Amino acid sequence: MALNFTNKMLQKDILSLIPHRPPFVLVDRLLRCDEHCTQTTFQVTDENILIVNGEFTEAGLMENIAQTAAAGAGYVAMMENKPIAGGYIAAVKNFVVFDLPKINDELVTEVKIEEQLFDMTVISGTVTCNAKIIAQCEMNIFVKKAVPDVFIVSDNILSPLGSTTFENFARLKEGVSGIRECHDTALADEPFYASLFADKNDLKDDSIDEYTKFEQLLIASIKDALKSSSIDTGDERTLLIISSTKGNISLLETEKNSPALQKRIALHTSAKLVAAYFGFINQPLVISNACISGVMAIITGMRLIQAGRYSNVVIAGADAISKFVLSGFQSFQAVSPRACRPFDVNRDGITLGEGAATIVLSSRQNDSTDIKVMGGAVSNDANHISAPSRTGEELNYAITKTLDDAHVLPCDVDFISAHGTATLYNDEMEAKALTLANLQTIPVNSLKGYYGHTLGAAGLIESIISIQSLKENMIIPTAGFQKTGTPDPINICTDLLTGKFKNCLKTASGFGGCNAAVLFSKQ
Amino acid sequence: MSTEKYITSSCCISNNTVYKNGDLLFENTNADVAEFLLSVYEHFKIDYSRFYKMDNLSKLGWLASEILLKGGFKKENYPPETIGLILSNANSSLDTDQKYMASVADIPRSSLFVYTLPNIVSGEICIRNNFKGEGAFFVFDTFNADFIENYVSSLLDNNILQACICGWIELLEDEYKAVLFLVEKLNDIKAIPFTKEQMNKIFDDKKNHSMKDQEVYIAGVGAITAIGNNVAECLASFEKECAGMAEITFLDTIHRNKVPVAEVKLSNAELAEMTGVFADTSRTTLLSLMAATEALDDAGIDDISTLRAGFVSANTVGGMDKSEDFFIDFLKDNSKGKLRNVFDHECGCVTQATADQLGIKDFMTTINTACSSSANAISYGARLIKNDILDVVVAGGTDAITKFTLNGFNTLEILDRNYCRPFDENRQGLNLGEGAGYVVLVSAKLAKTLNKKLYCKLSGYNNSNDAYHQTASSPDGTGSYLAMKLALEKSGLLPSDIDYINLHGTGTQNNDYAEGTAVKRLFDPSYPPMSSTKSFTGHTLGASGGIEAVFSVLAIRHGIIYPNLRFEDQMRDFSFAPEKKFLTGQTIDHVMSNSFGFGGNCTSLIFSRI
Repeated sequence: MALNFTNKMLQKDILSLIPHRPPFVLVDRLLRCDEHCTQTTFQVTDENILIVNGEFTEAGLMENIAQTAAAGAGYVAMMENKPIAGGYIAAVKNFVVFDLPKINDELVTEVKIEEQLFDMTVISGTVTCNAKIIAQCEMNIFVKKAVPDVFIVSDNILSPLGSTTFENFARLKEGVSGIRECHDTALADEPFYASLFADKNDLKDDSIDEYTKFEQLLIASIKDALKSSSIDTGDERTLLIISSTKGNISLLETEKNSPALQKRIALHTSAKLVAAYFGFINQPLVISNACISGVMAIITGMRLIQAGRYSNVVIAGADAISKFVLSGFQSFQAVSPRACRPFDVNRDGITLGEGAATIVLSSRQNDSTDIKVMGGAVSNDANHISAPSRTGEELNYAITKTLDDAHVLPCDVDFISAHGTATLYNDEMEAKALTLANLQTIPVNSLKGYYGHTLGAAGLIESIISIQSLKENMIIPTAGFQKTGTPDPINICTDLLTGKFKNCLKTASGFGGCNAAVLFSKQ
Repeated sequence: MSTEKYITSSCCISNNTVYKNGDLLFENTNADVAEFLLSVYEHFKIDYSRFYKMDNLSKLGWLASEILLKGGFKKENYPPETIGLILSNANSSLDTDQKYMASVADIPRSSLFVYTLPNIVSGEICIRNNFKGEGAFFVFDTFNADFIENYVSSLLDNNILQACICGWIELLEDEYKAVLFLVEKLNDIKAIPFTKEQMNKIFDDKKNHSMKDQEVYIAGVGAITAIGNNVAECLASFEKECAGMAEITFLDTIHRNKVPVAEVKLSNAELAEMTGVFADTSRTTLLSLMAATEALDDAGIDDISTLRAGFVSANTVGGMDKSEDFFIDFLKDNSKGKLRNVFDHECGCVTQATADQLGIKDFMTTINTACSSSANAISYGARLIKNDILDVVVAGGTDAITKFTLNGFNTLEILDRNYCRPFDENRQGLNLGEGAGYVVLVSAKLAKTLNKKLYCKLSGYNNSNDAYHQTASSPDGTGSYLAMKLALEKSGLLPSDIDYINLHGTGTQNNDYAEGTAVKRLFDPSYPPMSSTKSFTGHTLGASGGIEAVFSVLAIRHGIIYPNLRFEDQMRDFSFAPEKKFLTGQTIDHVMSNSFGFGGNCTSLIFSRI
């Protein structure tokens, strides 16, 4: 294949051609890449990690050859609009080193592809320095099958704090909370604290009047998210996922029960109606997994894209607060008599909230600022159906697995958006889990002090705020928190925190003993 | 990286019935939902007080998982984080939601509220079993096998899970249905491939699929040995406790009158006449023809040409008997010797000649793994049927005594100058034998159409390697042990289920010690009756697995145990001894037949009553 290249193309940042990252990048620039060979240049600096006694080691030379091959492969991938694949040195043959370069020496490395068979590429490589060959070898490189990236290309939050992500984030930056004392006898006899939409007409969209409030929330949220993305809902490679715990359950309060009502209440009915509204041609997926539904939906969407089954996944979640839900949590004595106080020593229960959110995932990047979903995992406590694990090790497992899959170390996590429901046991368990995962010094926040616990939407709303935090390099503090109240102390964020943030971990736990974690990263 | 995934167990609870792997385990026709669920709990003698707290949906799903996992699932083989649940339904937790809603009018009941989420049933199952892996609950309007197959497969392919329970748990007022599948990467003998088609088949009719569909049955047997020219004659000799060893009669060898052998009591000329082939056909082929024809006739198959039929035959000597004759003349003068004699030298020629005579055209192959050959042929034949490649397979093996073999074993110094005494403390070696033995394996589907009563089923088989020495067995009998143990596991049986072991029992110091050690490792302290029929037939090499399979099948049919002739002194290292007398009137439900060969190739077959 004849590759037409210009100097400009070759100037492409080497990091966009290879999967390697500093401090393990041992090539500087691509000099040449065509059907004959790939050539790179590399200067040995004194910061290089493979220097011993002022000399660049044999291992460094070998890796330099491998990365030259990787740069060539990356260049070809870029030309073909394919993702950069990772790879491993599977075997090295006839590795001869004549001389070791010194600091400031400039190397020119040339790699020829001898053979390519399935996943294995056989190359021969030569390193020259000052026009002398200083090292050469043959190498078998195993090229990993490239897994598509998963980008968040657009999102929406529809809550008492605003009807777009931008509005919501602005309110949070100002420290505005949606929680207030509510007097709504349709929901409860006594006043209670919650974050609810001001009135039923908040949505101001008469065209969707015949849908239930729950469905209207979903539709409005999805509509806004789709506005700023170029996704075609009618594409067979696009899927809709709905996340909710109780959906239309409030219909039981207002309508007479009948088989027809039972069908109407079903989550799959709502999902189908919403899908039909937007013209999604694939049957929507409905996830109903207690409070981890939102995070779980992101993980499921990520997996489906990585598996190549879909290119785009629109994930929408919502839950409306009804008498059903409020009375239920109250029967548990789980509801705080005031605004909830996550992780605080005086925390005494949750505050409920309503809202909807949408995240649009795609294998194709929309914008260079798009955040990526890097990995996620789910686990079960196998301990109790409504109380969390005593040890937090299962949530730790999900967190650790997520970080491992994303190749991110605990110290590289810039902040954590915890579940932080403000119950005695959840927050304690989460703090334990974060400590087990070596994340106890990383800034943590819980957004439940602003939104309340939005159940099926929680994972999505809070993920979107985290994603926005990454984009704006600003972490939102934990409203309602004053003094640490968990036996394992963690680093609760109490003020707006600015910095250079790249990686954010979101965690969630729910009834049934389930736990989920997901990692978002800036490019 | 895609891996093979199997449904190793399935459970369906609906219409007041409980099915597991296609078998009806329990029925309670007139009960209402709550009564029915309680009766299931009681019937299976489960002791788990949490059950009473659960809502109906959780009771249903939890019971289905209990029954699904009972018996076969070895959860200790998996780390807890690698076992997960992927469940789904249409109505979420509406049944309990309604009940909770009713309580709100009075005093909201937290004990109900906690069950108003569909994934709580997963939580209950996880608590019971300590499953900590990924779980998810999806809501579909009907069971979506396509999604479940793809989603669960990718969790297993990516090693997020190593085992997964998936399916459908639905309950709303009086209507309920639970269908659960256990999916693993193991290829258990009874397992069926994890596909949406299989799931839908089971979902739509729990009876439609049965693990029984995967069974392989024995419809016919045939054998010719030193103790009889057919099955009936062999059985008569067993009863009379009359061994087949004698001085060498037919073979023209320098070892005549020096070592006893167990020759088939027919000359080549007689065999040729009985089978209708040329008189100068290799003796190996002649013996094969005798036994294979008997077996196929015995199976009572009307017209084999209408079926996908195969012939899997083993032998070690091929047409060596004829090649030896050629060689004698050729050595003296290389322009002499009948070249015809070497045409059929190779093992495959024996198979082909027999297959042609039997009229089997669709598939044939030859297996040669020394003394385990025909046992491997039988397990291979079974796999061809299980994988729906063939409907019927005549499988087994043949071998004739040749100078080559006789001299070869003699140089190994493992021939007994007297009649062999397997498993005796003072055993001196083996006697060579010859013969052929075949079973006719049929699929479940074909079995249903046959008029004759089936003999039994092949419920387990396994081949493992000793990895020790070319011609000796390891002192701790590792290969033998693995062969037996894993065959048992695949059959889903315990050692205590075996009613008789047909030992390989050649009579050599080495084999019997290694095999005895392996038997001890597996069965101690409670040993079933066992014997080596090589004390009657000698060691028939490539045919032994097939011949002894026939004897094992007959043991089940006739309720007999064969004696281990000439046994006197128990081996010092073991606390068990073989049977000395021919026993009748026994209840034989499961028989294990061992065949261990040179090269460390060890096979164990398990036959079971249907």
